[in-house]
Amino acid sequence: MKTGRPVLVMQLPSRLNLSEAREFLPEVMAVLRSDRPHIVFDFSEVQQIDSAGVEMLLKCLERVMSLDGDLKLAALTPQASVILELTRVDRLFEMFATVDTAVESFRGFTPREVPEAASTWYTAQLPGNGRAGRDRLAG
Amino acid sequence: MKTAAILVLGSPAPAYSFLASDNGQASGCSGDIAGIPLSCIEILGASILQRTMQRFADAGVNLFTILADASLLKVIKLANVMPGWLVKINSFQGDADVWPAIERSLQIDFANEINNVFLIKLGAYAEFDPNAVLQFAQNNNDQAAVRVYDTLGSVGIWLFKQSANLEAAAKEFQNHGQDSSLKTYFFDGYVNRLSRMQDLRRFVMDVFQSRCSAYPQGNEVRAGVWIDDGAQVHKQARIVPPAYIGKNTRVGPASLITRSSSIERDCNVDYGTVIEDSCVLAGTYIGTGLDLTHSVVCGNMLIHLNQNLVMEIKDEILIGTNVTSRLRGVFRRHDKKAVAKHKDEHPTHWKGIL
Repeated sequence: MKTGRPVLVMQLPSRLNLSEAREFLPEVMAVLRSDRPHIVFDFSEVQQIDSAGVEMLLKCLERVMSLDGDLKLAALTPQASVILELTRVDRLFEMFATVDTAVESFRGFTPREVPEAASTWYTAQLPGNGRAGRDRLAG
Repeated sequence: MKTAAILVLGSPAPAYSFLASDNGQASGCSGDIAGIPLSCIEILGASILQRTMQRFADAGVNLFTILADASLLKVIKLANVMPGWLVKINSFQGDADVWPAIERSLQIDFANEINNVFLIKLGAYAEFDPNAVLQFAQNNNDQAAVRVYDTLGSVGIWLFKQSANLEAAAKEFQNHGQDSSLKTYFFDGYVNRLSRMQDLRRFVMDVFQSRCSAYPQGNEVRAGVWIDDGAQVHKQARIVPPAYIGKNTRVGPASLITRSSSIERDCNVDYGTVIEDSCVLAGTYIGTGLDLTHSVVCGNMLIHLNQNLVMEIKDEILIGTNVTSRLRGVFRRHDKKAVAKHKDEHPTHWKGIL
C-alpha cells in the first residue's frame, strides 16, 4: 500500500495545557481543510500535558477522521506517554519512536518493533540451539 | 512427476485449542473451539489448512486427500477448505483407524502412479518448500521416506515414495518413537505449532510484523489495514494499523480496533466497543460498549490470554453468535409461538435472540 499524499508534521508546545491547547487547536483546524489529511504530531518537546491537552488531541483526531485522514504521534516523551496511557488515549493512535518513521508509515505499512508479550512467546518457541540448517542431513 | 498430499485432521493429536497451565502442561479448555480444530479456523481470512494446501499447490502438488475424523467432516465442508483444487475427503472412526486410513490413501495414490506423497499431520503451520524436500530425497539416493524437522523437532510432515517402509512411518506418526531408517530434512524457516491458544494470537502478530510469509486476505485499504470483501466499517469507527477486518463483517460507529487485532468474517462489532490486542473469530457478535483486550473470542466463548482463562458467556447481548441486524429485526417481530415454530428450521439464526 503506497500513498503519495503530503504529510504535515506539527511540533507540539512543551506545555500542553488549557491555554496552550486553546492557541494550538485553531492552528491545527486551519490546516485541516484538505481531503484525507495526513498529520504527525511531534511530541519531542512536550514536558507537560493535562486533560485539556488530551481533549485537544481527541478533537484533532475527530476532525481528521471526519475528513478520512489519519493522525499519528511521534517521539513521545515519558511524561506524555504516561498521561496518554493513564487516560487510555494511547490505543487510539499509532505511535512512533521518531518523526521520520511516522512520516514513512504513511507511505506504506512497515512492521515495527516486537511488542514485549509477542516477543516472549516467540523466543519461548525458539531456544536457538543451533541445530537448524537448511538441507542438513541427520538421522 | 506426480505429487500428492494427504492432510490428516483431528485424531490422534488434534490441534485443538489449549491454554498453558502453571506447570507447563497444556490443559484442555473444552477440547476445541466450537468443535473446530485450530487448523480449520480462519485466521486473517484463511485457515491453516487452506494456507498449507496453497503452499503445496504452489509447489506443484496436484492431488489432495483430507483425512478427518468423521465428526469433523461437516466442519471441513462448512469451512470451505476446498477452494478449487482436486480434493478427496475421507473419514476415519477414532484413533485406531487413523493409520489404516492413511495406508489406504497412500496405496490408492501409489496405484494411481503418483511418485511422491506428502503426509501432513495438520496442526503446525510450517513455511518450508516442498520442492526442497523432494530435491533432498533425490540427492540422498532417492530416499524412500523423509521426515521434516525444525529446531524443536517434527513439524508433522513426511514424504513417502512407493518403496517406503510404512511400518517405520506408522511408528513415528503415532508418536511411538523415532525410526532411524527415516532421513530427516531440517529447515530453519518459520514454524508455529498452534498447540496453544496463545499460538493463534502469535500467528496473527507474526503476520502483521512480517515475521512469516503469510499475508492477510482482502485489500490493504490504507497502510496496515486490510479489509476483505463486503466488510462495512462505519465512518466513525477507528481502526489503528495493523488490523484485519474479514468478509461481510460490520464494525459499528465509535468502535475502536487497535493493537494488531483481527476480526474474521461475518462478525459484528457493535457501537462503541474496543477490540485491543485480540482476535475475533468468524461469526461472532461483540455487544455494545465492551472493552475486549488480550483475548480470542469465538461465538460465546471468550479466551483471555493474559488470565489464561476460558469463559462461556451465556448472555448473548454481550458476546455471542452473530445474527445480522436484518434477521434480528425480523425475528424480534415474531411472537414466541412463531419463534418456536421456526426454531428447528434455522437453529443457528435463532441462537441469541430468544
